[in-house]
Amino acid sequence: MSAEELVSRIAEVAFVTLAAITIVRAIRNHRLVKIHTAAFFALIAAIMLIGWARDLELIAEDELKATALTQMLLVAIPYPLLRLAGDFTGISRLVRHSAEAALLLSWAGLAAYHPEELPSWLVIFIVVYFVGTMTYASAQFMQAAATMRSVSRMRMSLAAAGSLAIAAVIFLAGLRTLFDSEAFGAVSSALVVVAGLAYYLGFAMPGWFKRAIHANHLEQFLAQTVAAAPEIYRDGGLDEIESAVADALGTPDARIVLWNDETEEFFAPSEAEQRVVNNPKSTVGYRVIQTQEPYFTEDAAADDPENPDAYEGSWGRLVMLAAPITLDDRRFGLLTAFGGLPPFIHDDDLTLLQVMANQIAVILRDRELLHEVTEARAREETVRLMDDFFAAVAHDLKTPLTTILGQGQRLQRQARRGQALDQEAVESIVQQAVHMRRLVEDLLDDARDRGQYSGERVPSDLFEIAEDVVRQAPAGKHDITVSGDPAVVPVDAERIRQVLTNLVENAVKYSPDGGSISVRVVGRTDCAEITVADQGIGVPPEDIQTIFERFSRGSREPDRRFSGLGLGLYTCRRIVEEHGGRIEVESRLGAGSTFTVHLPVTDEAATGGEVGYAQTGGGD
Amino acid sequence: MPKLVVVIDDERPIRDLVSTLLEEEGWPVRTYSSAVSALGEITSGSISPDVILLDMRMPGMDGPQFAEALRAHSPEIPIVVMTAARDARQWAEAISAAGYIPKPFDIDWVIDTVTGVIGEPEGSPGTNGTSKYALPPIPAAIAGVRQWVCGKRALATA
Repeated sequence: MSAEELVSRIAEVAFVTLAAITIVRAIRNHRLVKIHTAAFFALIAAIMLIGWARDLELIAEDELKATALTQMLLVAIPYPLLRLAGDFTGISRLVRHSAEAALLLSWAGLAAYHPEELPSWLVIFIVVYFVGTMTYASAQFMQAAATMRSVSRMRMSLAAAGSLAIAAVIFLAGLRTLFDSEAFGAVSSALVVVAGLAYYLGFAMPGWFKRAIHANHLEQFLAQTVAAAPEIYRDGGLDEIESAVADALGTPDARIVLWNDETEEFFAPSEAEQRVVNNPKSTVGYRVIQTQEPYFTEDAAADDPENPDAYEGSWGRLVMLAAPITLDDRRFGLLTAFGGLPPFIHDDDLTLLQVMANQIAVILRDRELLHEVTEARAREETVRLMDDFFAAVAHDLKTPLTTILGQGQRLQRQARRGQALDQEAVESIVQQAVHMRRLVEDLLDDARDRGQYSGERVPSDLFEIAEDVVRQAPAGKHDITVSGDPAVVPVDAERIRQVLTNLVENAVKYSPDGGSISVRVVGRTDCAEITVADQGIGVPPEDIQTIFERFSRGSREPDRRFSGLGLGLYTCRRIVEEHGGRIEVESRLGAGSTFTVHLPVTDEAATGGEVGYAQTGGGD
Repeated sequence: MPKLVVVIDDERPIRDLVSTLLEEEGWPVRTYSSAVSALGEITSGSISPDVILLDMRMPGMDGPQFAEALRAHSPEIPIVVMTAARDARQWAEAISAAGYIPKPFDIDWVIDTVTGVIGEPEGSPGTNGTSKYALPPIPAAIAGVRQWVCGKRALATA
């Protein structure tokens, strides 16, 4: 046996084996695609078997009949292949009927002539019909391959290559009848081997080969899930993982559907991406959630007759693999891989799908735990801030209340004893009650909203407001002066008065007796400035950053320092910002502080603002 | 020599109230708006207080810082914590104070506490025509019990 013969025999064995495999599959499952595949390989195998019988001289007497039968079978080969290609992409009725007509004509021609004396025109007709049909089928396979991924795409391409090789063999056989040459035989044998190998891998890919491809894709999937994990709950966060799953399985599409255990519904991980595939309880997905078993169907709509619409798509019949994404008892959802038609998805892919679903479950659980921890921390922080806030508010309210209660009791005692009432005590009570009323109003403003710190703005003279505030200030033993020029700016005068009152009161409070406090109003082209400067104790450098905050975030240690100065300066900042201005402080410890309020001159500028912090000096 | 009471509080109305109150009882009182200036006068020997009523929450040097600094110089001077914080008693314990006055207070509590720590003002009883506070001097520990009773009364009348 020559090397060429040996190769031919191997190819022949491959085709006969393929026929056996595909026939068994077709008997197990009567899908049209399986029957077409089996018919195609059965025809080729039959030709091979006749050849073997002839070689073994089992049919010496019927040599001519064998040749005639071989020819009949041979011309039939393109037809099941064409139908098979049609199962993937759909072929027009015209093409199908033309192929049928050509096949019948070929058969008629073959029947009419002696098998060894076929006229050239018939040979040419058959070759054209054969090569044309095979090439067309091959093109269809290529087209189908373009819509598929990874393994499936590879298998479709192999089917196309095998078909082209067979077409070439027949083309060469046709040429051989016209120009006899030894070279044709060798090339033909090689092509048959190529076709056999391509078909074998394409239509009956061995497990080890498939697993090797899967291993590669699985690696990519793992890398992809790790990379996508931080974004997994964001919009489109699952896309990369889904794509990796589809690649690994070779399905056109894959999808992760999340499940809400409380409402017993599938849900969309984000608003923009509605992943609620189907909710009715009869659906395939719902069944997988309930049974917690991976599931394979070659026709999802047939498995769910009540919701055929749920599986409609460009694919026609929906082949679907589904695996539960579950970790311990926590059901996260489903991993599905699906697409139309391809016979290349098998239930043996379910193991791979389940492995990937488990990996996704681990990542989802990881993210869920992280989310829970973050939320718990945020809740703790909120509680802590509330505690600090109430402590600051209570302190601010208790201070004037102390004076009111104490002086009130003194007056009570004086009245009981028939003594003359202390006028200073009465003044003090009224003053502190007014102060407290303002605090309560600030507090209510703060509670009511976070954005209404100024009402209607009318052009007002800041200088007038400043003079007024200073006139009413509890100067005590301080020397308060107002300087500058009139500056008319659109403001909510009542609110700006509140800011100035607060600043002047602070200056008085933190200045030693006899200290001077100066209020200055300066009008510029684009903004007006009011400064309140004192020669008091100053602001410690460590407090300057937080002085305008709502309340201090001092440490919870027992020896914590009092750094919060209450709501007053926070309210000032909010009011000034509402006006589109900003408030700044400059301070030198022990030498005094200067607060500066900048207010825009035009209404248009009053759209927003920020707090500026400035600090000079410091010291211990 | 009459016993000197020092009041340190950044709030003027409260300084005024407490000093008036205690002066009416017969104690000489010095007030300070900042802990730093009070500490300066004590360490330089300008004044020698017998008790210090100390606010806790003040800008600059706060109450606990002052207490620490004072202890290093004159550990014998008793301090009475005066605070609007919720846990006034704990603040007092934290700095080993002789007593505490939670704000807002009843004026009797202030007088009783000071009396408990430094005893009756000179010239009493009877300076104000009442014997209500004319109690014998009590140690700070007993003063604590009295303060507690006063505290209950303050709540009942609030």
